[in-house]
Amino acid sequence: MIEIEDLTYKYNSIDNNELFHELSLTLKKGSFTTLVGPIGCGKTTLIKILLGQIKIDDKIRIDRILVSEKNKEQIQKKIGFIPQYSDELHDISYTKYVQTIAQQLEIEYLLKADQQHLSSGEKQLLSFLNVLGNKPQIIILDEAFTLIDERKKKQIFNILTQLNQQGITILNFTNDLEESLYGNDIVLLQNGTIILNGPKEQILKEEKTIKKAGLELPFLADLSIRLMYYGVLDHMILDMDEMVNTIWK
Amino acid sequence: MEIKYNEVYYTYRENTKLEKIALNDVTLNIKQGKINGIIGTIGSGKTTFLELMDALLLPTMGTIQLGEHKIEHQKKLKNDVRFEIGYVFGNPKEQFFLPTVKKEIAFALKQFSYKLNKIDKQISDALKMVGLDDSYLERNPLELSNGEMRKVAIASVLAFNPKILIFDEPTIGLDSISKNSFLKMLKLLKNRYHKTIIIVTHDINMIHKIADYLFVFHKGKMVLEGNKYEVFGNEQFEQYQLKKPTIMEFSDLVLKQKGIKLGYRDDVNDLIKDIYRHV
Amino acid sequence: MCKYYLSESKIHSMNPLAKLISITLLIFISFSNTTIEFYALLTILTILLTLLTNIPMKTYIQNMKIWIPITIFLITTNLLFQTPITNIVRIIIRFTLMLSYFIMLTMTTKRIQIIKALDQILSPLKKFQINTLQLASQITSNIYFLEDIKEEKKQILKSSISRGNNQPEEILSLSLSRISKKTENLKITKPNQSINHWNWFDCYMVIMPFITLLILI
Repeated sequence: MIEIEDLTYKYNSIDNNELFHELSLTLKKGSFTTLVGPIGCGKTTLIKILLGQIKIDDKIRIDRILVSEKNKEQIQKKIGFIPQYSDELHDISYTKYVQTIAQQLEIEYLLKADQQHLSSGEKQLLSFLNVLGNKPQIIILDEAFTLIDERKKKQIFNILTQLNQQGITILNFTNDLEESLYGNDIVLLQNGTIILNGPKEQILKEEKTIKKAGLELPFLADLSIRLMYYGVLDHMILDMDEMVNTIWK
Repeated sequence: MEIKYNEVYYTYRENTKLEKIALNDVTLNIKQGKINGIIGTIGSGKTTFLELMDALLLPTMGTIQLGEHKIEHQKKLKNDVRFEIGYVFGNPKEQFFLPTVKKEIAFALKQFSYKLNKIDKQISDALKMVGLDDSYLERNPLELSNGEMRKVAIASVLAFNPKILIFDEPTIGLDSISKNSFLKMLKLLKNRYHKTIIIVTHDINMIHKIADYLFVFHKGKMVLEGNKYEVFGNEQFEQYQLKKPTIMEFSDLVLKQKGIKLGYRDDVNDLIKDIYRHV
Repeated sequence: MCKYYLSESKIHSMNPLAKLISITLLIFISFSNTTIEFYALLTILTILLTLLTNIPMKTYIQNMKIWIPITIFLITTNLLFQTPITNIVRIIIRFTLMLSYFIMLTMTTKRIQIIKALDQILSPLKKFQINTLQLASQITSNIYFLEDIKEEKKQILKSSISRGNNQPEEILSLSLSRISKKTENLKITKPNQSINHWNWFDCYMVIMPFITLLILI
């Protein structure tokens, strides 16, 4: 569980502009939240704060424990982070679980290769395996699968959904609202403020707000809204099979 | 200027245990003055294909025809041909190595001996083209945001006005507004300036919006080509492990489950008209 | 010079810490100034080890290119000091052995494994509040320095060639600044569980040079 309470943050002490002003956000244990926002909304800074890379005093609780300099390292062990571009080197735990997943995704060769010479997409896959190996309680993703083809991405999100059903909290920072169909909740961040926060079926109806924030509705959400307007549907449908079966009963 | 690949092969680390055949007999013609999309899974050879086009790599076998010039094994490409090709790297951090935006954009101009007094205007124009203003000139390119970096990378290539533009994964990490302005810019470059554009990408929904012609790569070979309807509608498309644009997946599902043929549409609005006809 | 060569071999699958210790010991041994017969034995051992790594000889020799300038340097300076020829020969043999062990280490061990092994060695320093992982990473960066510069140069050259310049100025200083930026930002993710296997081969590789060292002394 992640709780952010009244977080106020400025980029530097000279500038009076605050990025975050008393930002509060609670992510329950076992939730699967997609956090979206346009460029400059504060996503990157928020991630750094959650990972302890930026020092913030007494504003963040993880599993009800207040994060401070002393317990920071211990708490960080609970979090698995998958970045977009990884210049990191991974000391991967070769657990059986990691090997099984690597086999499923047909990427076993990545575990043996020298990490310096992989393509960026392969490095993203490796970051994913690395996080799995550590069995974290919280997984944070930052545009983690931008260079992976759609089929593998689907497989990976299915794995994440399975892990989520086992109780692991997942927070996915992304620009691609199509990915929000895999989670449960959506949080829209703009200029350091939370503009929308709720279950995806509810949030994806807010067409105007989403477009104004520079984001594009996922196809099924867009279709649902229009069909609801024409009276063909009476609620938002985010599953393709369900959509087809509802339109043509 | 035409671009033709003739039986091109490229092998990494030949004659060693790590030998890998990245391109295995690729023959194709890039459509001039059009937007050519290259799609394929990781390891299909797309990026190698691009690097060969700008002679950043030389083919192990086969030739690439660039207008009157030939790119082939162990033969250096004349510098003035590079004048015609602008390569925008996938990761802007790899493209930058100079301390200011101004120097980055000026770099290419200096090589092609532009008159020094005209460079400044050229640089400002290039920035304007990507939607940035002169306030970016003295900033360090590596300290900009992701979207800004991409724009500067594109500007540094547009500055010397090449006829051919090559983009490697240009929209990763961009939000919809930036993506749409990028697509707008591409359309402008094609329609007003008649440039030939080649894009390698994973973003199927993006390429669906913009590509005139598509090439599908799979395990080092070019396996399918045509316009988007020909390619995505091809029965063989499934086996190349790529996803179709979501709107087309929907039409496929409707056909499969209900036997109704909706046809491939570009736009949700057109799709809804189709749905109405069949409900 | 230090490129990792992916292959399956006894040496590749050795525990990195064991490898690091045994190769360091072997390097120490080759320092010693003893009889020609001993050197011959050591050379045979070295050749056996290289065969064991399943890396083709051609690749080894390619990676040993640095041998030439250093040997020339050693010969000329020693001639200046008028050391006897037999001693010069000894020096060259010792240097060759040390270099081959070093190359063997870097070609069979991934960078992250070396960092991890160094971290284990330095772990007693943790008590003094020293970040051993960062220290290990810095030391390893020094080992791979030349290799890193080569990579950066290649990257800069690529970007430069694509914009028409085959010989960008100040390529060396640009590479250096890019490397320093990268190492600043380099992070290493640590697993929560460390799995470290030591098998009989590892023990043998560590004990064998130890014993040899003791015999020498």
